[in-house]
Amino acid sequence: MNMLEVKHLYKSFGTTDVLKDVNLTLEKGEVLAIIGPSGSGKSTLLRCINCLERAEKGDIILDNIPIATEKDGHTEYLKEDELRTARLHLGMVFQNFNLFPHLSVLQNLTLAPINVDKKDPEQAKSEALILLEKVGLSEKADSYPFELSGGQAQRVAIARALAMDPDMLCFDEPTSALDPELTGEVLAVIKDLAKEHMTMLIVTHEMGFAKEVATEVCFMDNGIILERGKPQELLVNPKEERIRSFLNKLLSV
Amino acid sequence: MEEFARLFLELGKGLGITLSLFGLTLACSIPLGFLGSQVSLSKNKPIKFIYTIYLTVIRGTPLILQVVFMYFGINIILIKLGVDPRIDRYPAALLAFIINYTAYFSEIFRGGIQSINKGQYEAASVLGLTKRATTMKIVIPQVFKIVMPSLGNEVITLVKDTALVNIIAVTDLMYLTYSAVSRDVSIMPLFVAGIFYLAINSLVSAVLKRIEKRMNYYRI
Repeated sequence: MNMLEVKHLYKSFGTTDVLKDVNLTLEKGEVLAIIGPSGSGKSTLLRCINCLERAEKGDIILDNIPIATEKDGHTEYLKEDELRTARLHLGMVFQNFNLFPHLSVLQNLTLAPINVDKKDPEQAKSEALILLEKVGLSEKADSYPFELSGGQAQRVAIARALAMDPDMLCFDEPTSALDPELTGEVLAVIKDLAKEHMTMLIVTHEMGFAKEVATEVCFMDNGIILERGKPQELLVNPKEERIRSFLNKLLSV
Repeated sequence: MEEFARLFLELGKGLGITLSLFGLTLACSIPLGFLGSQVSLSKNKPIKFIYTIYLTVIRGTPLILQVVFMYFGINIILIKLGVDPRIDRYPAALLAFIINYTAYFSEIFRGGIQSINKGQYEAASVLGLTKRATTMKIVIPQVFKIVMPSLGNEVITLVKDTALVNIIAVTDLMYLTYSAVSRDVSIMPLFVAGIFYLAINSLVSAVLKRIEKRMNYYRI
């Protein structure tokens, strides 16, 4: 079953075409890593799927709900309220965490379940505590975001996304804002999620991680998906010269 | 010493007006200023344009001029138009103050709202929060912390600005002080008035400090 289907997606910023005909399907339980040079459109693709940016052409079908449909050469999105509900199938983890600084860790997790899902506050709280335990941060429930390390903040952000019980999670370079020694703890949490067969779309620069966790890897370049394949094939023995040179550049630093 | 006590009681009678002017201006201008900031940040160009004119005029002319206009100017216009209901001194002063302070608060809030990281809106939106919930739960609490120091400055200025209303003979603390000075030909009333204003502002500063401290539990 397809969790996500992206067809012929097109997006430009001014005169720059950022996405040119991107096609992507993601099956339930699949973990897809998107790699590629900066400016290749990886993050924009993720943001279009999340509706943080609006694609101009193409279709997006999430969990069998057509959230964006092309009509007469122009993409139309669902109405605001419908879109808001449909998007709840999708959780998002940002590069810069984007935790709410005025709320405690626990309140960060319970805000949306209480306000959006209208969950009972006590129930939301106990579920949030279970999630915090899962990401190994039970003792930080009453801390505020500024008291956390980057790695802890990102684990809270993952727990916050999970609190809305999404069917799929998107990660936009989840470890890029972290000190190198803190990436491990975040990647470990994502690995655990992969073991539970959470469907995930991960934009990342961590090749080792992609190799280990992803079921498939996409290489994006210049607004298109150049190649898609099993991590062992694409990362070890890519068909495209472009990918080889990209991987070599990464290895040589 | 006896004169001092007598002046305290005499000038103290103006405190009611000074404090009510201060309190009512604050109570109206802060919410109105927040609404105004939403106009500044809206995408409706015609309304935004009119609002910009308002901001420019109000912030570009002296408050004392606006007070005089609100009383004499408006009444002259009303008389010329042959309309009977006149605007009284105190309401005219209050209105001028509210219109003036709303403009300043509006700009302070606009700056505060614009300094909220885009990521906060994005995080709220991927979690399914409505625009209203995002404003109430995410934006306003953070904006208040950010703008508190500038807001505090304006509040302290407002205490002192209320003295301007004596120009249209509103019998506030300053008006009574001025009367006492010219009647007694004494500088004593000036000191007494100074003590009153200082006392009010010490209290205001203490309250502001407390509010800032209460919002210190987090950092943005």
